[in-house]
Amino acid sequence: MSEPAVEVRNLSKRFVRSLDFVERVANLVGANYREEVVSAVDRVSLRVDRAEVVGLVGESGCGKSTLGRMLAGILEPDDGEILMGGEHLNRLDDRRRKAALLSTQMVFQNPMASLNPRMRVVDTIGQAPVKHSIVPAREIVPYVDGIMRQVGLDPATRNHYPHQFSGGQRARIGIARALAVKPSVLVCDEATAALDVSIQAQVLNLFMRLRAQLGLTYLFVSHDLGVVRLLADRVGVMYLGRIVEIAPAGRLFADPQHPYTRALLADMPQLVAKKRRFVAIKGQLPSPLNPPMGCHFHPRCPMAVARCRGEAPALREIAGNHSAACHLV
Amino acid sequence: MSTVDQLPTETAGVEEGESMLRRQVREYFRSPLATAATITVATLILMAFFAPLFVPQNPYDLSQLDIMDGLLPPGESTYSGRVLWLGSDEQGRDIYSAILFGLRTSLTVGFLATAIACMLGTIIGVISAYVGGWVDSFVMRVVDLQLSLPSILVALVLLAAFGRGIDKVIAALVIVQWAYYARTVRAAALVERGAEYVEAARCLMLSNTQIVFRHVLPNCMPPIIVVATAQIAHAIALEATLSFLGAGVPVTQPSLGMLIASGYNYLLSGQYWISTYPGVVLVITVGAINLMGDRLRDVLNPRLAN
Repeated sequence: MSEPAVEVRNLSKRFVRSLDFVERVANLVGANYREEVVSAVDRVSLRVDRAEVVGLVGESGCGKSTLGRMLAGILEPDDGEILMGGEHLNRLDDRRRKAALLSTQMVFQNPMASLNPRMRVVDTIGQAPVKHSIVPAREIVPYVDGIMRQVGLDPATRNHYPHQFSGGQRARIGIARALAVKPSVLVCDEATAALDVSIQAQVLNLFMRLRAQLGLTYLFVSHDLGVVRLLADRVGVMYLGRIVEIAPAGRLFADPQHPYTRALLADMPQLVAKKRRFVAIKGQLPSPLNPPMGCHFHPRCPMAVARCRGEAPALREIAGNHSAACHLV
Repeated sequence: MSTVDQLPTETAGVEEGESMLRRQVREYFRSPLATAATITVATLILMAFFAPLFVPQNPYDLSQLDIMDGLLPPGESTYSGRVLWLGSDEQGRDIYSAILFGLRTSLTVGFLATAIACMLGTIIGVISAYVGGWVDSFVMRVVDLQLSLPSILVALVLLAAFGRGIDKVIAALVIVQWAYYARTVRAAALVERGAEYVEAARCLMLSNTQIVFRHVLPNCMPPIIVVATAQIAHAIALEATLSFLGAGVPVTQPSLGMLIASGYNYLLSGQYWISTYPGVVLVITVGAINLMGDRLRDVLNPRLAN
């Protein structure tokens, strides 16, 4: 029905701590130091359609932020492909690659840390549009004013510095900065996690309004299932660098298939007290330095069988639009 | 959805665009000691810079000197009836005039050397942080080497090779001081480079030059300023030492250090004023600049401020 705005195929990102000089010398005389490699994102494929909101959930360290940062052009993937508007990013020439990456913008988790403390708001929002000739330098002030109004900021505060704003206002500045370069895709990395609940609601409403007004596509990275349920059309669940289940939001929350998703949803706080068996996820998140063989989740999975230890399950479609990576479903 | 339209525009109590800088300046002057030190340094700079307006004679114009006025103690009058508040040296030179002219040389050398070393060190530090890899390792080993040698020793060796002269003293001071800035700036740039606002700038496809000059460097300024202030005092003291040892500025443009050296021979014969007063001015200058540096460090370091 719709074309993909962003698509990633088999995308991987590894963080390597290479050996230092002493360790290399020690290796020469027989020690056995090895490079430490973290597969933050491990052959992930994901497609976000135009004007769709895809939520990405998972524990800390599961690679959801790394995935978002690769889409935003902050991190280079080690492997795999990113397609934007149907074009392979790596096959574009420099200028068009830049334009494609510019059309994917990011909203950050920490509204204070993500704003340059020594820059006035007007420069924070206006720097990129001027540099990329989206707006001539002479007209930048009215342009910034327009965007500030759009996100609910008073344009009279354009000459203020970030420390003079409240947390919610700073979040809006971060959104305004992203909007100023006319993106089509917004990657929101825990964009509301640092805010008070009441402010969170305002900012979420703002996201939804902007989506309606501008036809934006969102990749909404969060550990907050409630927020994702509210916003997302489709939800992907990540565990140790892999997507373990992805389905339309309603289906995922109503009928989760993967044991990890089930456990995650069971841990979700609920207002209505239900008589339910409380099955917490056993144990700790394994070290990403040394992930378990086979299915990454098997050491904590209540249903694990012998096959789970040896063979990593592939993500396969189990019903319309609903995929899970588990041998047992 | 009407909730979105209730725009939180409350900004009461916030002064129009008050920058961090202005806040910090106000904070800085809340310390009486720092204020006094700043006034002292400002006065010394003004008097040294406009020395001809403040002194009765040009101490290095031989036609204005009278050998008959030689070695007069403080408070004595010259042959022509002018009171010498700080005494005179063996050639009849007014010590007060000589101090202001000497201070001018000392301050010029100190500030110029610091400014050049600061720029050089900042450039090298940022490049080191940004390029990384073996360039970074190489630069930092050179810095380690530089900082492990006593600066006075290196400067003496350099001046022995260069010869005397203000430009040569400045060059020697730059060579012994750039490493402090390079190390400081590299450390600060490495921290800032990982900041979320720099990630945001990269996401906005800004070039590395724009990121370094608009985002990284302005946020590295606090440590640079602190180091630079301490290093001005250090440079002035170092220059005085070099000149005292006879390796610094030429005799035609004596600095405070050289004045101290020229009176040194008279100290034991009771004519203390030729060395002592330039020494007192040197101590006040270096001390006041150091006090300013301490206060700047307190104000600019967010971890020390509450």
